[in-house]
Amino acid sequence: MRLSFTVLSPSLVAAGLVLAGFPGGSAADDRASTGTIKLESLKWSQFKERLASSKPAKFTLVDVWATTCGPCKENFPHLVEMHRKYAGKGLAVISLTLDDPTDAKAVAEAEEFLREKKAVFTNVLLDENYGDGFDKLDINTIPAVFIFSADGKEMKRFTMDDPNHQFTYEQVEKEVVALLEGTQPKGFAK
Amino acid sequence: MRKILLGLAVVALAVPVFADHFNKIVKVGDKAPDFSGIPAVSPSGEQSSLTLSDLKEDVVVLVFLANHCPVVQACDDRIIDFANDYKDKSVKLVAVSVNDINQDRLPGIKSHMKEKKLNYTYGYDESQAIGRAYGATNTPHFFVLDKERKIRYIGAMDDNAMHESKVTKHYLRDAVDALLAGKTPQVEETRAAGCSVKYKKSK
Repeated sequence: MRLSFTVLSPSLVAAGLVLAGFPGGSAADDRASTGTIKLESLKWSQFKERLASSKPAKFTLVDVWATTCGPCKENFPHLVEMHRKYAGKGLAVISLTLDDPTDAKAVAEAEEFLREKKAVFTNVLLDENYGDGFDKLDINTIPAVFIFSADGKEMKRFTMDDPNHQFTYEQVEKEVVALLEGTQPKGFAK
Repeated sequence: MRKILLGLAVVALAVPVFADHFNKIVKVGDKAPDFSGIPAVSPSGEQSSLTLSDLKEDVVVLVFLANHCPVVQACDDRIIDFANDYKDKSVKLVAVSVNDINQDRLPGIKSHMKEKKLNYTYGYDESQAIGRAYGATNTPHFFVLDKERKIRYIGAMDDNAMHESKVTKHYLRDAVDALLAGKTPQVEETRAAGCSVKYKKSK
């Protein structure tokens, strides 16, 4: 099942504007906000609301990771880089960790990692039972990357779930560029 | 249009968001993909190999593992217990790693076996062919094969890979018990929880 989110709340839209940091992305902005990197705990429903209120960003890139996931951490700089390059062009970026929210050590480690990587975008800790995030997102494993439209509709998913079609961050970036340049027909999502 | 969309959103929330089919390559009922001559280490530490047709037990449990993976490490003792509890019931558990990571290759398997006193044969398939054939995406990832060597269960060992004390559902044991009793497992596929298996790009 693909996720479809249509409910918008005006106050959340406003919150989304601030938190998405749009249209930031300049080096100066990054430096200014490095000190304020934080990890927000959100329920799944709150996360979906956040996704549905990302305007004026055109798209939201969501990277799903966890501190226990080596390949996720290895590839995290790609996300930081994409934010740096495309935030000013309309890309909102969210990191979503599936670490156990009741495991204080893991949460502290996640925060430390985000600061170390200068993750100057929205960082979310999924506040649900450990493991439920996989069902909510309908993925078998991480890393996984999603692109959502400004109203929170899933447009594209990149996963490791098919041994013969595992994604690379190069593919993600290509898609991001194509979407931002509008070379993909609008509304091609399933 | 708006109303229709909202209606759909409500339906979407009312239905579980997961399908009961997770594996992209094989499904329950399929003939188990064959494998042979996979270099392996036996529990005694000797050089061995894994060949499906060599296994004569009624039930074969094939599990994909990775020494480096914290989730596998959390499950090690449970897998040992399982192999031990079922060894006299004509159930054979064999493990294989396909990861292109130093620690997950044969020398790593040897030392992991010694350190944890693993009681099952554990192989390493550098070609990753066995992993692709089974659609193994996680470690640990379990596949239960019946006497006809059809796949009868795919997925996780239980419902909490990281914390044994929080386990409430024993999917693997339940599936194997059902097969031994000549029944169809009640739960035939679950989402495997664990580290991802990275495949080399196919040529």
